[in-house]
Amino acid sequence: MGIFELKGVTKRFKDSLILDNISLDIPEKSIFGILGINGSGKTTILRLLVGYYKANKGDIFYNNKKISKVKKKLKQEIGFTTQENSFYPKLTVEENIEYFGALYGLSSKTIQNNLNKILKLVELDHVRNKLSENLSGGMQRRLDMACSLIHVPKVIILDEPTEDLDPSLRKEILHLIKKIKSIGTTVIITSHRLEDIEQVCDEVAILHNKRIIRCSTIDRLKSDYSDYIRYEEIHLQTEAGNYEAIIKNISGYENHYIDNHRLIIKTEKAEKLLHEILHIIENTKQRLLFVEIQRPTLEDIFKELTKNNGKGFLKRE
Amino acid sequence: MRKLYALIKKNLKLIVRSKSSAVMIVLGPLLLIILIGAAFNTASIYGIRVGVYSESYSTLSEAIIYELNQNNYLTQKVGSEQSCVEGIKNGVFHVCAIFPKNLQVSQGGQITFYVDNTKTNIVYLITETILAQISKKSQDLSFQLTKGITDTLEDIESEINDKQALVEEIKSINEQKEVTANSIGTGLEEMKLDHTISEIPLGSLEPEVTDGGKNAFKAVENKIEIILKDTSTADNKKNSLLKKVKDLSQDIESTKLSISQLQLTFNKIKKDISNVKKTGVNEIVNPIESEIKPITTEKTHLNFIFPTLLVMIIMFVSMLLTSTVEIREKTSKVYFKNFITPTSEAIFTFSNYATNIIIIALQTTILLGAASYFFYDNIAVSIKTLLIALFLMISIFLFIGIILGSIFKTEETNTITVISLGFIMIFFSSAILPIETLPSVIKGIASFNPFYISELALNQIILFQAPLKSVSNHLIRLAAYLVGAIILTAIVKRVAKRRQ
Repeated sequence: MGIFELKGVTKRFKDSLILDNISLDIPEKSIFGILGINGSGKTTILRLLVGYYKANKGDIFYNNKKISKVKKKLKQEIGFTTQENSFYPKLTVEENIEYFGALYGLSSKTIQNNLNKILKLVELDHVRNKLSENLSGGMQRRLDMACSLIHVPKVIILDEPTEDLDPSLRKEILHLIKKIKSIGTTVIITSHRLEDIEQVCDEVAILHNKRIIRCSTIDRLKSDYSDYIRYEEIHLQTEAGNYEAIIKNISGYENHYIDNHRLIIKTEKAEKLLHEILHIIENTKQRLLFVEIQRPTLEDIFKELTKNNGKGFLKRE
Repeated sequence: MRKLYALIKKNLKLIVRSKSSAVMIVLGPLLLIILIGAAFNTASIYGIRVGVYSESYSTLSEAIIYELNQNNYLTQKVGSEQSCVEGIKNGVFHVCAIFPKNLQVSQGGQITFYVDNTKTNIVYLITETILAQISKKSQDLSFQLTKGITDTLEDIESEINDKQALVEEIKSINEQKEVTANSIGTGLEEMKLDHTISEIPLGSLEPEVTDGGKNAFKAVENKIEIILKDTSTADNKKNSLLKKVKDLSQDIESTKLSISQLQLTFNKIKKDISNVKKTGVNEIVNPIESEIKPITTEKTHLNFIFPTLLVMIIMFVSMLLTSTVEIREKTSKVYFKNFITPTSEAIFTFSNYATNIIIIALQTTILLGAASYFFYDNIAVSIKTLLIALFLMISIFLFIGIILGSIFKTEETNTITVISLGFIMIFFSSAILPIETLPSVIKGIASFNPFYISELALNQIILFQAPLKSVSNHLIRLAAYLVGAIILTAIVKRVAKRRQ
């Protein structure tokens, strides 16, 4: 039994069904990822966990107790970082963290003690007296996490922590997440970036079509959908629309078809094959109108996974 | 308590560090009161344009127009009554005065005024001021006319005084004549002329008369009869005269009575004239003098409207500030993070209230300080009562603001609602029109209006230094409203939370 457990939880807003009978078990002291496309209901799950929303059906447990029974304890032991920075830009780094410390009911001494440690952990010690609005994007994201860590929570929930960050800042944040785990905090993270989840999570749940369609370790998941991420698609269109010469002269592809005057070729080595195709087009003196390599997105993988409507996929190792 | 302190500190820091908010919150009300103060810091009205028309201007008309010009009214003669009235409609004139043709005191006359009663707030003031000027002129004329009357009366008195001696002389002569007449009457009465032949003893003498003497006797007898006949005639005449003398005597008596009555009348006239003289012309023209003594010593409009202005500022700033803070907090990205901390909604709400009461208290202190320095020397007399009243009214409006902030989701909607609500409260009070001029239904509604109750309380405390006991009725009502507002806030908050 994990630190959080959701059993048959359904959430709807008026007539709109957001989550349909989902069940989850989030292990303690791990980094647990919730994967899903935008609008899939990831944030709703997180808000259900902290009691901000109430489930229309089902139960949510925190340390084996219904969250409605341990509201205060839950609030004391959880930190939450939202998608967008949630601190006061007109307060300094220190003031923001102190403010949240006070809201968590910590004494001044504890706040000062924790503040110094947290500032070192998030590497914001040198800007502690700077107004938060004047920090860089990465620093602001770290400050947001620091505000959620001041009371040293047992669980920290990070909602899309790498969203809208450039690669270097994303790396910075992922590194910080690992550091947070190292101090014994359970991390629950949502993202639609597979690569981010791959880097930090121990376990992942895939949310699609209002349901959890997969919940397993990263390694198991990778092996499960490795077939889908292997292939890329070359989409091209010539003026003549005669693709026979191309098909005859290329090899090393999975399959091909024509859709709306465009030739679509599924292959593992798209760039190499495209190079060959461009030579053929040049030699046959055809005029190229459109060409593009489409790599599978997480959404594509979800689509593949949900071909069977998710049946049989909900399992844990 | 630590949580509350942290929330208030955070709120204040955010306000101070946001320059625009700080300027608006601290300087806004001050700027407002300075501007309004400058506008109302006078008891006079200036630049009233008066259109004037008469078919023919008399000296009196010109004098009245001159009088108006002398008192800072801008008069302008126009060609017709119609253009004068049009002038009001077009805003060229505030008042139009139509003088009758050749206005004369002797003929009397009515000056007609046209006023723009769409300008409700100043029409009464203008009418009153203009009529006061006209009344002054009219009074001068009355004085002159009355003076003429009293002068005439004085002449009459002098004439009466002159003629009174003559009357006395007539009376004296009359009395002498009466004596004479009476004496004549007495003399006549004393005259015995009613003799008869029988009184003479001719019968006893006749036998002794000789025959020769019989003729003489007969002649004497005849003569006696003639004399007696004459005497009888004289007696008749005497009686006739006596009657005439009596009539004369009665006439004299009657004349005497008339003279006495005349004297009495003269004396009464003299007494009346003397009374009129004693009363004096001024007293006749103005038998009852009225003087309006203000119950406060203040002289400008600002003094009187300051309490209303203060309530107005408190109301708008309190409602806007708390509702805006509430909405900003609710819609801010930090709201959710605040929510998941173990801090109750009541503490957040109370921190909003406490932060804003500090700000409003600061503003009110500055406003009252300035007011105390410039025109309310004795504001400290009822400072305790004032502080209680201010605390209650500020708290009520702050909680109304919190309620609105909890209901509405956008600042724009909230601002419109606060302004609308504020104006409704102002309308149902004495701020625009005296509440006494409004229909009884409105008055009934106004009695439940916290703005109106606050206005009444502050007026009594600031202008009349009313003690706590005198305004306790208002304060109890405000306290009841505060309790109601707190309960309503709790209900609205609970409903709003359920809706999330």
